[in-house]
Amino acid sequence: MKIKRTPGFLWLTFSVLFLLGAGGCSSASKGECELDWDCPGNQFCIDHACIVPGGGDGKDDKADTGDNETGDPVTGESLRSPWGRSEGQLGLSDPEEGSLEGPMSFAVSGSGEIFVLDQINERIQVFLDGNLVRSIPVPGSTFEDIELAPNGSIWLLDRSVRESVVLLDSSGNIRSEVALAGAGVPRVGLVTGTYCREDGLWVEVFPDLIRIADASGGADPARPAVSGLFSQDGRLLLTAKLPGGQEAEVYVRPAGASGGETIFKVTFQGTPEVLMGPFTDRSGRIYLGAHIADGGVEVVALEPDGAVHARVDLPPATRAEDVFRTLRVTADGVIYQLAVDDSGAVVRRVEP
Amino acid sequence: MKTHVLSIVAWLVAFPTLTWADPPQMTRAEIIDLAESGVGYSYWWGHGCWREDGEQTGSCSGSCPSCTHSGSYGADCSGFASKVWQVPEASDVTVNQHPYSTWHFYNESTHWYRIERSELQEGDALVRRNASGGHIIIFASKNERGYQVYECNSCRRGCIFQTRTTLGSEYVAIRRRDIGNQEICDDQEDNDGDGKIDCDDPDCECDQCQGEEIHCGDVVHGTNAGGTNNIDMYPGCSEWDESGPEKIYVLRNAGPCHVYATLEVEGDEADLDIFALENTCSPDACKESGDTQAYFGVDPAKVYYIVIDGYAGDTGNFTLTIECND
Repeated sequence: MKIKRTPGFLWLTFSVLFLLGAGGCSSASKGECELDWDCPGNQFCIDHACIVPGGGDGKDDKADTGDNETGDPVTGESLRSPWGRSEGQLGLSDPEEGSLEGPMSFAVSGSGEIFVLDQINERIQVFLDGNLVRSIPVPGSTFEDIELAPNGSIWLLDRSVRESVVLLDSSGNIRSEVALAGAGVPRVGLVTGTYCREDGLWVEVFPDLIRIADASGGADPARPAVSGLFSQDGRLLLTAKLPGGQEAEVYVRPAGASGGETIFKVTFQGTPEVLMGPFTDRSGRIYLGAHIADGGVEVVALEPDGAVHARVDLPPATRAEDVFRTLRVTADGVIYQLAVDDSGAVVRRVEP
Repeated sequence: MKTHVLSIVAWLVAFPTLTWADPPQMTRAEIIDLAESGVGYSYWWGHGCWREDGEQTGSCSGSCPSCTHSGSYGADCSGFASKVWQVPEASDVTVNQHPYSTWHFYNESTHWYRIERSELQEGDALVRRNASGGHIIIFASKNERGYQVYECNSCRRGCIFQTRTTLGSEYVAIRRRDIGNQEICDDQEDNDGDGKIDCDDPDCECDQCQGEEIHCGDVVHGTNAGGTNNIDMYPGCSEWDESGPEKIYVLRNAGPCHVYATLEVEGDEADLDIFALENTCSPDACKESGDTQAYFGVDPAKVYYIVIDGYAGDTGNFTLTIECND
C-alpha cells in the first residue's frame, strides 16, 4: 500500500492511484495533486484531484452499491467477514504442521452478489452490500475455485481429492461432475483457474485453456484448447509473460485461426512474482494483476491500444493462507480483491 | 506422565548416542524423485513414511493435531520434507521418521540454509513458522501463474503436487546442504560423473522438440546455423539426407484449419527444407514436407512442430510464414 498516512477509517485500507494515459504519471499537471500524500486528511489523489473516498455519493462503503453519479471512483470493502463457523463467518483451518487455509476463491455475479467459497465450512456464502443473503451447501471441503455459469448454476474446482469440476444448481445439488485429467491436463495440480463461457467450462493449464465441459455441463470429449484467456467478447486471446525485472508483456491476438499478435509492455512498481489475468472488461480495457515480491498486489489497467489507464495498489494479505483466486475483474471493469488477515477475510472493491 | 517417561526410556534405548549419520549427498533430481513418490499419500500428523509403489495410501479425517489417521503410511509437511531431503540421515521412504518440525526448518541451519526466494531451484523448500504452527513445501518450478510444489498439505488434501497461485511473504526459502553436482544438459560435459553426457544422461530427459512458439499469421526470420542436429531423415515424408541442424517452431491451438507454412531461404545458397510433425518431434511423425512449403490440416487438440532442417548438412538464414485458413 503506497500511502504515507494512516487513514482514520476502516475502509480506507487501500489507495488507488490513477495515471491517465500512457504518460499520465509523469506529465506536468495543473491539478491540485499528483499522489495521495499531496492531499489533506483522508483524501486520495485521483485524476489530479483530491477525492474523499467512498464515491462521494453519501453512502458508506458497505452500503455502496456502486452507483457513481458524480463520476468519482467508488472504492472500499464490499464485505468483511470474521473467522468462524456461524452464518456470515468464514472457515479457517490452521493446522500446527500444515497449510493455513481460509476461503480459497470468490466470484461476483452480474447483480453484484459476492459468492465466497467457504470450503472449510462446506458451503458458499453469498453476500450483497456486505450482508449475507444466502448460504449454499457444497459437497466437500477441498474445493479451490468457484465460477458462476450464466444460468445461475455454479462450477467448483477440486484438484486435490475429487480431481474434477463439479456443477451445482443454485441450491447446491450436484448436476454433473467432469474429471480434470485428460487431453490438455497432464497433471490435475497444474490447473490454475476455471473460466465459464456460454460454450462451456474451460480450465487453465497455463498458458492454455482447455474446454473440458460443454454448455450442458457434460464432459467435452474433444477438449479443444486455446492459448491464453478469452476477452469479454470472446474475440481476443490474451496471455502474459514475465521476461524479468519489473516488466510484464501482454500478448493479444485474435481468437480466430489467423491474425497477428500485439504485444504491450507493462512495468510494475515492484517485482512481479505471479500474474493474474490479463482480464478484459466490455469496453476492451485490459487488466493485468501481479503479486509483488515484497508483498502487495498491483493491477495495471490498459486501454485497448496499450496506453496505461490506471494503476491500482492493493495491500498484501497479512497471513500466509493458500488462496487460489485473489482477484476478479467484472465486465463493468470493477476490480475485486479477496484478502485475509488475522480477524477474517475481506473483499475489496475498486472501480477505476 | 508415566507414559511419557516410558517413551523417553524407549527412545534412549533405541538411540543411546542420540547422534545421526551425516545426510547423503543428493542431486536435485533425486530430491524431486523422492517428492514425487510421496504424492497421493495421506496426511499423517507427526509422521513421515510412504511406499514407492504408491500402495496403501491411508486416510486422514478431522482437524489436526486432533485428527484420526488410518493406515501405516503418510506424512505431515515436515515429515515429508525431512524424508525428501534425507535429513538428518539417509532413510528408506518406508521407514517412519519425523526428525524435524517446521520450527527446526525455519530456525535451524545444520543441514540447510536460507536463500532468497528469487534464487529458488528445484528441490529447495519454502517454510513459514509462527507461534501457532507452520508449513513447509518442496519447490519444483515456477511460472507466471505460481509455484509448482510438492507438499503434505493438510488432513483434508493429503500429499499433493500443485501450482500454488499465491505464496505469502511469510514463506522463506531454504536450501539443503550437500546437493551434489547435477548434469547440465547442454554443456558437453559429464557434470555428475556418471559417464554420460548431456542428453545421453537419463537425468536430462531432453526434449528435442523444444522450439519457439509460433502462431497463425506470424512471419519469422531465423537460422538453423548453430543449432543441433538430432534428425537425419524423416521416414514418414522423405528419404532426403537432412544431416544439418534443425530449427524447430511449435504451433499450438491453431485449428481447426489448414496451415500453409512457407519457407524462403535468404540468398538461395543454403538448401533448407521444411517438415511438419504432428504431436511429437519424432521424424516418424512427419505429416508433410517440402523444399519451400508444407500444407497440412490442423487438429486443434494436437501440437505441431514445424522443423526447418538443412539438406546434406546445410545451414542458412530463412523467413518462415505461417498462414492459416479455415
